[in-house]
Formats: sequence, structure tokens, C-alpha cells
Amino acid sequence: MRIKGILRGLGIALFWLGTWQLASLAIGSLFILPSPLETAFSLFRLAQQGSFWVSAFYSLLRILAGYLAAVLFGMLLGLISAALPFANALLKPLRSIMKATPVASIILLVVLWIHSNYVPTFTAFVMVLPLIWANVQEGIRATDTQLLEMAKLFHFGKVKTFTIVYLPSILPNLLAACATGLGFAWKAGVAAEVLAHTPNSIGRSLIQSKYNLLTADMFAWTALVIALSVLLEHAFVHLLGQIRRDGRWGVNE
Amino acid sequence: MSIRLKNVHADYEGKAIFTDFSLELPAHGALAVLGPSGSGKTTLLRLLAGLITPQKGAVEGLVGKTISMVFQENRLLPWCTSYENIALVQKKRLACPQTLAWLERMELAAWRDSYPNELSGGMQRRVALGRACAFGGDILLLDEPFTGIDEALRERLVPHIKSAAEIIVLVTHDSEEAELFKAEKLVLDAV
Repeated sequence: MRIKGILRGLGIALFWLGTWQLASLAIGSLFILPSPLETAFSLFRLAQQGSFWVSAFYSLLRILAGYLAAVLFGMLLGLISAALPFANALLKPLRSIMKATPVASIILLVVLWIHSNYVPTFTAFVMVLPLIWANVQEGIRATDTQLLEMAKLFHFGKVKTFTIVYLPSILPNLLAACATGLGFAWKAGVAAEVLAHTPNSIGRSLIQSKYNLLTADMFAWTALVIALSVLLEHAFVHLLGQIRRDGRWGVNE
Repeated sequence: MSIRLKNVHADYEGKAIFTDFSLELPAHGALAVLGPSGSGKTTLLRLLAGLITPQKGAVEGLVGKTISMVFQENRLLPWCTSYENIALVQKKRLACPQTLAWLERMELAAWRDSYPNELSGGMQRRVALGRACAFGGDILLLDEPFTGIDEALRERLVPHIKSAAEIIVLVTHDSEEAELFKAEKLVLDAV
């Protein structure tokens, strides 16, 4: 059954690679659409250079830092907004603005304010923050009032009510937002690297390839972005499974 | 000091349920509250549990008293096992032996690691009963506690439930349940 699944996956991959190869042959220009083979050669050549891995490492580091900060601050702001109506009223416009502002505007503005090294981190942060914030707030709002009444009657106290009732209630919303946010952060972070010309970054390498008309290199860098995105997604799904198995916060106290 | 409701006025969803209602609970034993739907049986329990406050009048004698309750709904934590649902209402150091004992008494020992969605309605009810009994306290409030539990099992459970608290207030539609608890009866009229 597993072999059948692998063969099916390989078949689908071959189909799309074949389509790409045919399209490349039809266009017949390396500058417009390099073939999968040319892209693979470029990727192989780039991977032999130390700067390739340095760029990949720093891109990951910067974007993940922004993402993790957004998850932490988003949770905090979600809790504050849910607990304090005044804080919610005060902060809501900020969240709406962050949500509605185009990512390009954020990047171009932030480039004026901070060093290009930090632009991807900040961009990832601003993109993910409102998502986590809104989902945590909604999760708390939607917590079963009957369970909260039960917790009150049985003298759970604030900490226990939070860890045993609220946290498991917001967990599905939070995890869904984290998964969506990871994709957002990665794409927005690379876009920020492109526009901010962040040193030692995938984005800068991508734009330099474009300036030098090295389309196959652009495809190779893009392939790296996709590969890292898939890797991150898999790591997250693995972590998610772990949390679902073991992470019933506070229950086993 | 005895526990009593004194000239209580209480509403439920804008509808007056109690108007100048007074009641004194027995110092020991059980009181069964009977009456048709909408007569205020659950409202009475919620007043005693302190979950609602009367618009007028007072509930006296509850200061320093611990109240436990089986709600009309089971209100079990879906992400916790039977064991955890019961253990969570107890002080940590007592949790293990007492929880196991209440699981035994509720005839749920074999389902200690089951989650609520893996249990039948009657089993879930017994977890809710076990939780309320394990919490103990001075007053145990039971809102139709035997929903989904068959007669024979009900008879086996009653002595354990009676041992959990000094005063029991039982809301039921079934006067036989009141007999099982040897309870004084209070019949509420439809509002």
C-alpha cells in the first residue's frame, strides 16, 4: 500500500516535471523558462558554494525569529484583548491596520526605519501577529461557559482554569493560525529580503540573479524557498502531532 | 446556622421564577425537589450554588460551606480522561487514592483512561457524579443525577453518593429517586 502511494507520488511529480520540460522546450529560451534539468544543475552548482547555505541559514533564522515573536506577542495580545474590553477597544484598530496593510507597503516603510538585516524579521512579525492575536482572542471568547462555571464551582482558581479549560479550548484555533502563519511569514519574509536587499539572504540572491539575467539561478533559489517551506511545514505537522499526543497542558499536574 | 432562602426573588431569562420564596434546608440528610419543567428546580440549585444571585431576598448560611454539584449537563472536560476529570477537583496529594476509590464506587475503574467521547451517556453521568462526590463538601447539589443510569445501578450508587456530603439537595422528576435517598420532599408548582 505504501509502495503504491510512493509510486503514485512519483508519477504525479514526473507528470509535472514533464509538463515543465515540454513548456521549456516550446519556449526555447533559457532566459524566460529554464528546463527542470537546467534548474537542477544551477541548484547543484549553487549548493557547492558556502554562501548558498549561509543565505539559507540566515533567511530561516530571521524569518523564524519574527514568526516566533509574533506567536508569543499574538498570544499575549489575544489574552489581554479577551480579558480587558477597554484594551480590546484600544488595540483593535492597530490589528485592523496590520491586517489590511499590503505587505509591500509594510516592507517599503520598514526599510526606511530599520536596518535591512531586520526587515524580514519585522515583516514576518507584522504579517503573523494579527492572525495569532485574533485566533487566540476568538478561542477564549468561544470557550464553553458551562465548563467555566464548572471550574468556578470546583474552585479551580485562575491558573488552573487557564491551563485546564482555556488553553485546551484555544488550542485548535491557535494551531490552525500557527500553521497558516508559518506560510505567511516565509513568503512575506523572502519578499522583504528581496525589497530590502538583506545581506546573506535568499531574497537578495534571488534579485541578484534577476539583475544578472540568470533565470535558472532564480528558479534554483525559488526551489530552495519551496523546499524550505515544505520542510518547515513538515516540522510543524510533526510538532503538532507531538502536542496533540503529549501537550494536554496542566492536565497531568 | 441553617441554610435558607429568605424571601427570594429570582428570574430566569427575564421570566420570574421565584417571588418571595423562602425555604430552609434540613441540617442533615436529603431534600428532594420535585415539580414540572420550568418550576424553578434548577434555578433553586443555582441559587444554592451561588451561580446566580437573587434580585431580592437572600440565601443565608452558606458562608464557609463547600458546595459540590452535578449539573444538569455532564460538563466533563472533553480533553481529560475519566480519572483526570475526577482528580482535577481534588487537592493534589489526595488525588490518586480518592480518585481511584470514586472510580470504583461509580463502577468505572475499567474506564479510568477513557475520554468522555468514548463513554456512553450513563457512564459520562457517573463520571460527573464521581467528580462531585470526590470534591465532597458540606452540600451536594444533584440536578437529575441519574439520567441514563439504570435502576439497579442507581440503587448501588445511592449509598456512596449519600456518604459524600452531609446535606444533599436532589432535583428529580422521579419520586422513586427521592425514596432511595430517604429524602424530604419539596414540590414546586409550575410558574
